[in-house]
Amino acid sequence: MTSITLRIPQLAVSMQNGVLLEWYADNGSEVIEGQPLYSLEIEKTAVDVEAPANGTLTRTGEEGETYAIGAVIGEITAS
Amino acid sequence: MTKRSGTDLPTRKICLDLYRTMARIAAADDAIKRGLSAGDIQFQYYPCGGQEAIAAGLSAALSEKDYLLTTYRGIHDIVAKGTPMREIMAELYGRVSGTSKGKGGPMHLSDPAAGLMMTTGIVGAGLPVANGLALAAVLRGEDRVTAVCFGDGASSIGAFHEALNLAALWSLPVIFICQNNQYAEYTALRDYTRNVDIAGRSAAYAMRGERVDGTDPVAVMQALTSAATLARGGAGPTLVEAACHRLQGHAFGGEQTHMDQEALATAIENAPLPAFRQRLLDAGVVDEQALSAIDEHARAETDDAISFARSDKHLDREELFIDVFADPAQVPGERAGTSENVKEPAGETRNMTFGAAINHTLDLALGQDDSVFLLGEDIHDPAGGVVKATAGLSSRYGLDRVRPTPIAEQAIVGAALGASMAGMKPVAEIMINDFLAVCMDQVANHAAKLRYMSGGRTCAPLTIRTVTAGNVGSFGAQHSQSLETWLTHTPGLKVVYPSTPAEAKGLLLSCIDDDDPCVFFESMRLYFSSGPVPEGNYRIPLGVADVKRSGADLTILCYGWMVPEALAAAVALADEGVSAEVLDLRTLVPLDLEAILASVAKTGRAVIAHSAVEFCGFGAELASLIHLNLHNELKAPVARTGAAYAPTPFARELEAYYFPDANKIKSVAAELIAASHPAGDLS
Repeated sequence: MTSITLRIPQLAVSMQNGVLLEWYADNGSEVIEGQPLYSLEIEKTAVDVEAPANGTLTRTGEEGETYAIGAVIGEITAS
Repeated sequence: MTKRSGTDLPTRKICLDLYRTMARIAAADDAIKRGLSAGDIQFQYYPCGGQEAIAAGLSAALSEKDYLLTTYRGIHDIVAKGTPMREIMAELYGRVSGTSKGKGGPMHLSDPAAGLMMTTGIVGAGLPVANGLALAAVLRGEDRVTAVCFGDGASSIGAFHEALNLAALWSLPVIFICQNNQYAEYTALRDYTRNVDIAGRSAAYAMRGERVDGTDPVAVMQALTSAATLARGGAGPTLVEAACHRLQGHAFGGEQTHMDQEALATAIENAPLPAFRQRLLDAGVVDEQALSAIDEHARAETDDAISFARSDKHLDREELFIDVFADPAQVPGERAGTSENVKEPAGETRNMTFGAAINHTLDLALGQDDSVFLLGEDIHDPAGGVVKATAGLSSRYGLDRVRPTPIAEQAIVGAALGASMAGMKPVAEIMINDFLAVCMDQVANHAAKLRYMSGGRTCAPLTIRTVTAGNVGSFGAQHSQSLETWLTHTPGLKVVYPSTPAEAKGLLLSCIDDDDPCVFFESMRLYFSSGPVPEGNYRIPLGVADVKRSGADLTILCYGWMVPEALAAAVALADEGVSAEVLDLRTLVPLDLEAILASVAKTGRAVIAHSAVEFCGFGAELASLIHLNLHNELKAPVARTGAAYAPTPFARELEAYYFPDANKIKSVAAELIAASHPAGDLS
């Protein structure tokens, strides 16, 4: 069983951190690679971040919180 | 531009090869995007979506030994050229097994084993270098084509024009591949040029041009195959514009609002990979099962590469200074230095001017080594160079090896650089060092950094000869500077600044054979002064200073045309009872710190003289090094004299006042003596 850590991606040169606006999948739900996973606000623009793998989602990041690039916000465990 | 129908499909094997390449590219692109989404890797990624077919066609048209250069949006080209997937991914993760040992990163992959010679992060900069790689193949009689990929945005930059003009002039075997994805970063084609016909620009250089559907791998393969065949046959370069459409924004995750939304939707609907897949199925060339097997294999390959990269070793700190130069000990501050004072050999000499010594040395180098060649403006006969440094050489060695060029410094340095990457020993002439300003991208971003950015897989051992024309009158502000500090401030360049004809010979021969890029300064003020030059093929190693006059009371540190001024100052000081030592640095990088410290430790005082502007000049670094190392042995703070903080004035008397000379050095030295304290007491 492998798991992939979810970290806040760097999506712009000037980006320092981002706001986790909304999770699109429930904690513990099955997600599919490529599906929109959560919405991230960077530089006042919302960007959808896709699931990087298939598996069970564990959410640790809170909606509305600001996170630095690289901060862990959850993981996907291959089922 | 029409889409070719299924009836034009080549053999099943070629079709499968094309599809496989596109599937591998897509798998790599997807894997990188997944890593970025997960925050597993963090960098600005410039996805290749929409351009996969161009790379597939390219790999089918080129052989493994053909060279390829690409740009930062180049993962498709890199995968297609055959660089192992594990090495690609390890580089993106910044790990030791990466193509550049993790020191280049996603914008700087290179893999000469697969013919991938350079990936540059500077728009348009690959084109002049491609000419040099192609020139090396021509000079050696090798059957090898060089392809260089760039975006449509590169068609606006000067390097594009300089490179196309030179390639056409020299009929070089280059294929210039413009991957026109309709956008230069965030700006649409029509918003940055009036002439959107990029292939049509070939007419300006009397070069073949062809526009091809860049979403169709078969069309691209056919166009590039015919361009390669022509190039191999000696028919010169082709500009191929492969028209496609970027399927996403400039950078991964970035906004797409600058894009034409309707055109983007259409392009996504007709994306090259699924379109080619369907075409193969429709034509009955291959079944779904075979294509799925290829897809799965591609995915497995990238999964394996990602796992490999993630578990690969991180870089040690010791790696920091490796690959700056071939020899890490030559990094300033890393080197113990030499204890011996290397002089030119004794024996038979001929009296000749500095300029004649340069000519004699180039003659010797051309005569003894077929890989040496010269290039530069006006260097051929009858001109023989503006200061006659190359007079007679084109008549003796031919225009293939003594190559006059257009007035195009980026093209000159790029050609020298590319040829040096392929193992040639080019000596490029930049007429006056002030003109380095127009080719500094090639010098500082490319020649200086290739070894490091490639983790030692490539290097650029070219030599650039350049004249500095200070205090000779009549040249003014743009032809009289001494810009060595621009170069010494850029890690990776060796900077040589001789003061005598004999040393110019020994140092220039060392530069030509050196494994790293060398810039060799020739002082016009010394050009017509004479000295004895030993016969034969002798070298003076780079990084060894020379005591030109011994003394006990202070050290004058100098180089280039300041050396005779310092010697004259020392004579005048001796009349006043001051014994001055004159230390000629000869090379600034590598720096002979040991000789500097040994001399100043002995005398307790140092004056630094150079013809470059004093403010932020090389003397500032020397003064700092001396203070740091010899604080307790100095009898006075280190003094400096250099050119005034002003552009060089034209009026003769003002120019003479602007530069330091023997009188100025003498007065600075006398002030230093007067201001001295016992050693170690600088309060």
